[in-house]
Amino acid sequence: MRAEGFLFSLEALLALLLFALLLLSFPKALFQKTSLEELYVLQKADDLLKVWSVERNFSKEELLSDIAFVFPGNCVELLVDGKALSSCNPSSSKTISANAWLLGDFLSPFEIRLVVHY
Amino acid sequence: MPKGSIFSVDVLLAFLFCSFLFASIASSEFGFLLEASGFFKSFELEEKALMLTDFAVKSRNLENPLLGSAFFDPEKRRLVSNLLDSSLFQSAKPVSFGSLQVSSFSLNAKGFGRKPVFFNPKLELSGKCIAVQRFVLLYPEMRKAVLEMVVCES
Repeated sequence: MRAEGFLFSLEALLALLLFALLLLSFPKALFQKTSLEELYVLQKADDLLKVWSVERNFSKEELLSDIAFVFPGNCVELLVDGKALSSCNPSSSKTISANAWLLGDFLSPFEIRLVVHY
Repeated sequence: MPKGSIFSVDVLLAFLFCSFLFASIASSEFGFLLEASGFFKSFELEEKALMLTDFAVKSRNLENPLLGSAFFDPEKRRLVSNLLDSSLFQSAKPVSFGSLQVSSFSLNAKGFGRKPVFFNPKLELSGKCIAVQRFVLLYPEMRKAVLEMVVCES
């Protein structure tokens, strides 16, 4: 009688511990701290591409000064058709890339890519 | 009598164990909920601020240009995002959404400096605020500028 009771208690203890572990781990697994910083940086990079597509002034100096105006203090790489027009030494590990295909003179398409380290 | 005594000790131990377990779970969950509620509040502020600035550059609202002052291209019969109608955004008025309020709205034109459309410094001092910037082109000047909106939780 006592042995049975003891066995039952051990089972109940194990079940309770399992239940407690489940309760403790469940909500934290679902909740992860996220930030909209990534979206914000992407929006700004897209803004640059949209404004350039409307303005259509694709001189290197103008593009680089716009980048410095929108992302002051950030390391931003500019690539046109895969060729780097600017480079920098990124200090952060987070990176976002945005690209657009635009039509230049004589309707020749070219790709502009921005790589933002933030 | 000895059986009853054993049973009581069993129950007491089980009760103490369960109470301790549930108290520790409750305290852990309470701390987690406090942290989560603080996080969701700041996340909501960030989300609303991004949404508002997105409205401002992509849509057009004649009643309150703060909620949209994009240029309407009559030839293409559509709004041009990131091209702002200069005559429209100057009449932007402060707007609030529940506990969130736009405390300032300004334009920093490239080479021309910052020009505020409206500014409420009291709100920025009293609440938690977030500033969001977007790069735009002004019509008809075709001048590049950074639009800045400060959204505060009062």
